[in-house]
Amino acid sequence: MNPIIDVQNLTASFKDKKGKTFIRVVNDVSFQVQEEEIFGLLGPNGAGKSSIIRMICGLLIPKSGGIFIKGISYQKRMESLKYISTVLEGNRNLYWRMTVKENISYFAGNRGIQFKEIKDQADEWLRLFGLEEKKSELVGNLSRGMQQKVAITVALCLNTKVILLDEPTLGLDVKTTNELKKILTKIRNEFKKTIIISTHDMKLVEEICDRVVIIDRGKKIVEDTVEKLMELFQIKTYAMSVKGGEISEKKLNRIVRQFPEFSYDSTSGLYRVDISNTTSFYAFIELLKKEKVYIDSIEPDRLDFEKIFTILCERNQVDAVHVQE
Amino acid sequence: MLSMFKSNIFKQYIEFRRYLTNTLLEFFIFYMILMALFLGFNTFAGQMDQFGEKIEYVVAGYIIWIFALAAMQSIGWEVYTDIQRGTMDQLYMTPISVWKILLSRMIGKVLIQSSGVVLLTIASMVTTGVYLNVDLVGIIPILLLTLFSMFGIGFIVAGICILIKQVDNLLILFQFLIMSFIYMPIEKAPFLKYFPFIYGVDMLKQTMIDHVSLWEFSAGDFVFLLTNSFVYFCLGVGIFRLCEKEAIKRGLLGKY
Repeated sequence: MNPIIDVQNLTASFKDKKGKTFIRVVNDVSFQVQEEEIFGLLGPNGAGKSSIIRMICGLLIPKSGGIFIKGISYQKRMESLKYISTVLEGNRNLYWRMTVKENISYFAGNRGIQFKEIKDQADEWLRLFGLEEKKSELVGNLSRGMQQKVAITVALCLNTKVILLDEPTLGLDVKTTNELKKILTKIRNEFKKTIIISTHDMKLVEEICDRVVIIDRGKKIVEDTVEKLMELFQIKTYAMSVKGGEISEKKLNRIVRQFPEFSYDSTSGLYRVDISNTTSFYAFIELLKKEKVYIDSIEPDRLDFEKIFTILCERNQVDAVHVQE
Repeated sequence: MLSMFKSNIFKQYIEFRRYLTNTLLEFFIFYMILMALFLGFNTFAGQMDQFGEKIEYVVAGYIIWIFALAAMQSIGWEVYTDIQRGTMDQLYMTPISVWKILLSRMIGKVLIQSSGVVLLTIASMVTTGVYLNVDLVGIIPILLLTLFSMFGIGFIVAGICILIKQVDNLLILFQFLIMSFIYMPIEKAPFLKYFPFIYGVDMLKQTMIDHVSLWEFSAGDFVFLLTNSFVYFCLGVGIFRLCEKEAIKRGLLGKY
């Protein structure tokens, strides 16, 4: 199956504040997004997600590598942008002094679509988002959540195959976030759209994304289905609580560095243990014994996606330290 | 293309309607400035010969200046506010060249401002008693041709806005720069005709003040005006596109 978005060996770099040296913010990242997929683009702050989004939606030129949208290279900007509409982070996508309807009409017009062509469709989207009563309201008078829904409605009315959403749940209350999750799933299932979401909201990812790519320090650290990642970690990971003894922070750092399969959660005091590497596991047990730290309990760890994300990023951090050393 | 053009003209109309009080106030201020100019001129140059001709020059120049502001400076403010609001990024994510969107907006702005300029012209003629020659057959074609070189300069301003972003002070300064160009007499410095819009402004002044009809201008005048407008329009679009290319390369768009 041909991917609708194909990102190949993407690299981006900017000059530092002094303008002397280049900082590489995206380093050789490749991933593919299939049609009708809800795809998550994840990473901690400063990982390079925003740069990747800006490159996909044409706001930044890659230093090297390629982006193909429906097989069309980003270099043919005007052609490739026909297939994608983007809702950027925050409430900066709409004209505040124009009404909801005027915003839809304006942005559709810029893509050569007359409002009368999409009127019924726009009404349908507005009804779905519970905004039919707000059609003639100035966007500036709407709540943050409503503005976000209007921005997504505008993107949907542009009739593109792909919708890119940057932090769609940021600043939204729980109720609106849950509504949004349902609507996004419906958009994919019933209207056959491909949705790319860049987010920090791991619950959103766990609940609606089919596949994810995790970026850290400009590099791809994993690309897989959410289901597989959850399975992979659920089977092999155990939560271990300990008592007695004391492991200093220095020693703790050494353990984490020595055994990247383990992680320590300081708030719960639990060691998260991956038993797939048995040699490492025994060595870890030996170390605990040596430090007179006794195991109190070992239970299969019920990880949510947020924990998996944290573990993956921590491992990447350890790898990066090793490479530096 | 036509939908895009219509959408942007309509957007200008919506904004005009929504900021109606502000727009009316703007025209009132323009009118007050004109009155101040007139009274000042009346007081200090009252004894001078050819007073009538000189005050006609001031009024005509002022009317052209307001038109020029709509064509050149307003697009700078449009781009500036779109960058501030973040909506400029949305324009760059549409599969249409942004310069075409901006051109539609400039045309929309000029069309809307025209009604205000007409009212202001009538008001100033009635109050000052200085009656300009409003020969629409002569004025409209010259104005249309001149507008394109003004749009070209508007594009250069817009390009600078995209690259530098914080240009509000520059835009304020720019309006006085336009004024000085408009009032500069071409006969005193003939080389000025190679500058953007000056030749067209001079032809407009000849029509409005000296009652020169369209047919009295030579074909050479029109060829020169057409060439001047075409060159500066293309130059403006070219510089704007270079600026946006540089902004995309440097990652200045979508920075949030």
